[in-house]
Amino acid sequence: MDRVMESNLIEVQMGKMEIAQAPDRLITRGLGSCLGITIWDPVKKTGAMVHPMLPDMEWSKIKNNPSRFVNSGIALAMEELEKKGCFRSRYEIKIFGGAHMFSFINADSALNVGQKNIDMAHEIFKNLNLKILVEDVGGTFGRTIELDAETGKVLVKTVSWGEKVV
Amino acid sequence: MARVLVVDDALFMRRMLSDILKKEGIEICGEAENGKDAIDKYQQLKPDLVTMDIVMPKIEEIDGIGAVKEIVKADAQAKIIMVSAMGQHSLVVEAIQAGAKDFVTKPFQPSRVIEAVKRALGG
Repeated sequence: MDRVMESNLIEVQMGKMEIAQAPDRLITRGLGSCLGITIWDPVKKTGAMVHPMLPDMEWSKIKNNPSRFVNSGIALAMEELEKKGCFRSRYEIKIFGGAHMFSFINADSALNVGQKNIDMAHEIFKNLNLKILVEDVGGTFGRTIELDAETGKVLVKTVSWGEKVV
Repeated sequence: MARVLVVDDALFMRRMLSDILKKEGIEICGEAENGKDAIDKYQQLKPDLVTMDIVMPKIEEIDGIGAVKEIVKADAQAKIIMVSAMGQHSLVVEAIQAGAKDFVTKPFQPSRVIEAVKRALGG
């Protein structure tokens, strides 16, 4: 039988989290200092993508949206995946972005939000004893990422450094 | 055999968690119904793992997260799994950053509870 399943491309806006099941794909565009986190279960062929802007709610006056923050965004994504019958021990976790977008701020400054976002993701996944499989973070450039819920592969696109699949 | 302390203010939830774990050959070495009780029983029983309800009434200013902080302070190797309800992300991350190893979200599948317990005991 020659049947092609139609794949939808689901947009993940800044500060949001979405879930996709194969054959659908998730995309988030223009990651700068924001983080793009993908969590995928190969058995369920289900993935989450979250696009938090800040490490935690201490950084913001707007505290009501968990997907705006790295720590609660991860918890939200894991909760939604759990609802879909996904299991932690199968998770493939990848993190992207966290770039250093303002050259007038030192890379080791407390104002380097990108690095703070990366640090927070490390802390949360380490505490949960979950391994980060791929990291494509830092630098001074933006990224667009696309997760294929069928394969778990992530296409990373940049303006100056081209494309790659990880 | 692994020994688990089950902490929840609701009796039916303690029973449900106990039943799920006993079927896996895990021993329930004790139950506690609030955070204060959990800290005391942790010291007495020295369990291999604790399941901790995230929202419980405060007793002597200690709730579920307060209990996590106290237990981890006394035993950095403590293995605690939070039992949360949908949408309690800020409490969940507070618990994780205080040292909890995982969280399961109510209503949960027994298989998910078992996975969390086995992963925490193995890691």
